[in-house]
Amino acid sequence: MKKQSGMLNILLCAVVALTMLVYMLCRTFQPAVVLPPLNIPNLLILSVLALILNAYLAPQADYCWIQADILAAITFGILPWVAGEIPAWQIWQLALAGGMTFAAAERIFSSLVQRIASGPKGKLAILATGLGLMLAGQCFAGMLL
Amino acid sequence: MKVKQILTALAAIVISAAVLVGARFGLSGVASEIAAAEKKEMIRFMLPESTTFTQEVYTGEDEAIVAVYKGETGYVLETKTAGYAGDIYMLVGVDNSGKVTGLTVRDMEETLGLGAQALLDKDFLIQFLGTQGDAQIGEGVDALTGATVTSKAIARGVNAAVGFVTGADTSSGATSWGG
Repeated sequence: MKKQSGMLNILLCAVVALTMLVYMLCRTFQPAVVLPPLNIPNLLILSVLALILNAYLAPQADYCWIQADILAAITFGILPWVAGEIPAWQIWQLALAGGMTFAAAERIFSSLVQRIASGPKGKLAILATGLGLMLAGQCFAGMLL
Repeated sequence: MKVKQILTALAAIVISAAVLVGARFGLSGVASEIAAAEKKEMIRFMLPESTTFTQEVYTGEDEAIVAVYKGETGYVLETKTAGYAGDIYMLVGVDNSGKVTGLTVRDMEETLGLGAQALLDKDFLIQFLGTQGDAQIGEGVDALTGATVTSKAIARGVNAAVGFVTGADTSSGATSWGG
């Protein structure tokens, strides 16, 4: 039985916090820069980045999916708000969108990686799967819009 | 074990939030100063022949007009029009004769590679310079490839700015989406 780990949510928290810090610095020192909005395709990119890091840093770790989804929703709701990127009334919207996006990304990513990555040469499969998922997310969002 | 994981993850969120709050308050003073200076510079760039600008209260009914800055030779207007994925904010310079002297997109949420090209596509933006409220996509102004709604939203913002200076009503249904 694999050991349960909370690493995925800590990594997601780090990815989102660093992104918000970059947004804050850009808004401070380059106010004319138009930054990417916190929409579903971009939330997916952040989720997939955390999943890629988790797959490399804690490949053997297992986690409770529902617990990870709820914590991801809290991360996506709270951090952009404290960074001043969204108003208070939008917290639940972003938390819901982020939590659901993370949940979908997590399941698709895990399934793909488990099937693609095999043997010592499968290391690159994690990165390729992540990039493919990001592109698929952009295309899917484009089709929906 | 599970409780420990949840608490660790929550602690990470709290620590990250604390760092962001600290950074936000630490930078707030500098941010407002730099933003004000940058906006002032951009307003001057939109209407190069004017040197001093005063903000005027807008009392009109056109929802596309957000703010009005009066210079010696014309106006710079901040506009907001509905694009494809969200509102598009622009600064538009219009001289006293109603001619567009400059425009820049300040904020938008348009699709990357399509509508977002409006930020950088000089060939598209330059078409609006010199127009006098008659900028219409497909009739003298070419739309961005694959971004007709964005292009029309920008035309609507430009025409609204000219309409403010000339007194023309561009907020009627006939000019919705700039068409």
